[in-house]
Amino acid sequence: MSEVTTRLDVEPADEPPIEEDPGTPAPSAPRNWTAVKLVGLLLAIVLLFALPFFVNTYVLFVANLTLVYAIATLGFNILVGWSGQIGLAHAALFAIGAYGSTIGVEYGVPFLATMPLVGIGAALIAVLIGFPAIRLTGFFLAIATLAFGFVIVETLTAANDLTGGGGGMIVEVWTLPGITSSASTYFLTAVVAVVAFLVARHALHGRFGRTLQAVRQLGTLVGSLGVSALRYRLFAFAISGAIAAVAGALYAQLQTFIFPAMFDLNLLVPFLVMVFVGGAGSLFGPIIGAAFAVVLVEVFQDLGDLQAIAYGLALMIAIAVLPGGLVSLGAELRNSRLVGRFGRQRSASKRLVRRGQ
Amino acid sequence: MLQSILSGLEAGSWYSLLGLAIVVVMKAADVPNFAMAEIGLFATYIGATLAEEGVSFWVAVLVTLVAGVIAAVAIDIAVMRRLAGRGHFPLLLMTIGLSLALNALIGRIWGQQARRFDAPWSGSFLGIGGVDISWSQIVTIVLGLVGAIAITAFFRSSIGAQMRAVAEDRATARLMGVNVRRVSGIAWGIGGAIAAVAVMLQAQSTLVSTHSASSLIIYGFVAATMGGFVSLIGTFVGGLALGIIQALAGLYISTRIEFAVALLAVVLVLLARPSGFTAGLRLRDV
Repeated sequence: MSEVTTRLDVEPADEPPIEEDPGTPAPSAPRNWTAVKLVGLLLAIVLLFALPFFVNTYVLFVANLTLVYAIATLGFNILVGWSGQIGLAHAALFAIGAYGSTIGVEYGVPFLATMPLVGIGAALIAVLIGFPAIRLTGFFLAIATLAFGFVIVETLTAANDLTGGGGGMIVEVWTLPGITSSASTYFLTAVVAVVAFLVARHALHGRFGRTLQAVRQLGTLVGSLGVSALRYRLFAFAISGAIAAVAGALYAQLQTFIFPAMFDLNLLVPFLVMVFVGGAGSLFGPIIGAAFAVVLVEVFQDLGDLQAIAYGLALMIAIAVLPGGLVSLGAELRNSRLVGRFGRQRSASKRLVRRGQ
Repeated sequence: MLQSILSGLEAGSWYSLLGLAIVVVMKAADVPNFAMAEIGLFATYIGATLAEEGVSFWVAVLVTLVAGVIAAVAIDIAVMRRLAGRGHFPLLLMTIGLSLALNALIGRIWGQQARRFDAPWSGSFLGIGGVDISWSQIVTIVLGLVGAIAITAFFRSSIGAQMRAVAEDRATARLMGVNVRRVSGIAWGIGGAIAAVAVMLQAQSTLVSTHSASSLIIYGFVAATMGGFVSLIGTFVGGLALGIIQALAGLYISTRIEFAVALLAVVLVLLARPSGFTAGLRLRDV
């Protein structure tokens, strides 16, 4: 387990404080800070791919599950955190990915080809879900998308011939020649996670992410800037749906057996937890949130009912103590009087001087 | 058909009452309470346990109501009022965490076995024109209506006005001399009592368990959504409509997809007549 924690510890450390509030425009970071970030990121990636060589199957499974959830949460965060729309069909779109890829493989499509296919399919479905729901806001949007999500899961249950109904279906696991199936699933997940993360980082720190934030905060007012709010809202739905489906395909590979009840509220609530506990609208939030949720579940696994109690309490404490999610932990500690007094509390001006501003 | 509509009205009354409990807390304390069904279940289990021990029915009912009030007020004082003004979604997550913990706690105390809380009239029927109507259904539907009217009347009283003021603008209400803490406590207490009634009514006609509570809360939220989280009438009518649609979907299509069909119908209503259903509903401009 310690390897997992180390790996995850590396990533939040890379994060410059300027990323904590996506609402404010980030001042340009000095060059040496960027270099530190780059080295840290490369180190994290190397650690990520070296993991299967020095941990046992159980730790590998936990790490793999964390990565799958992190990918799915990354997509959810684009919709919920960056574009500010509470769309609750995410678990169902995740299910479409899992079922779509498994059924595709059964009909002879190579697994690697099913991943982009389910991504495109889920993006289209997400737009269909988002299009009528896009006129609604807040709780109304939440209930509407939740309804579509339930319909999708019920349809999967009803389509007995294709999906095996409520009894579920066995997943044919894709394996690289020469290594175990769990290691190949892990490598594939890690590649997808790194690509998804880097693409999201590029997109969200660029024009796309800023426009999404503008749409979230200004709504249709962005029309006066020549930006279609509707188009960007649907974009967010499509992208988050596509990412959810790709993560779902990987999830099926990891679980090797899928059934519709895996994808109902029991999955949606953890997704929400991962986004908000990690930190909605931040780039590293999904990774930290996913690690938090998975580790919590695994740690309390043997406790039966106590597991759910601990999960609920941990969620409550995280939200009560850290409104900005776990990504804001560093800033909260630095700003708190207790730690700040003992720690290296510097005046604001000195801190700015040190950053070279 | 008539029987389906009646049982739809019965289930709809549970949803309406739970939705009303959610809306009352939302209006006065500005908290979307996802743990409402668990509060009701906790209270109902206490009453049912007493009834099994031989305590008379009405005493058990009274204890159930008091337990609902105490549980809800305790949650308000211990947790929720410290987080006032955090915004709806953090608070929603907070109550989701609370509902997970409470649900597991109830399962740990009473087990996962489904229970009933039988009333003296449970299982007896009233024959009208060749149709047998169970007394539980009549009691539930009538109590649902009475509850909705009572809450509406309450919001027209002085404390009700204070509640609306607090929901509108906490700081200003405070400046006007409204005791915000007391108002929030009263709202939670009323919400807890209504939730206890809702689950108790469910338990006198069918089995309730920690699983039934987690699905009941979704229906309660949908009913509250139909009322825009502000309109009591909209919530009440919405809950009843949800129950009837669900019963008819179960009759004519399949009981397995009745939930999905009911939710879809709600979405269609929201999309087709967003402002017609209740005044509280807001459209997003596109």
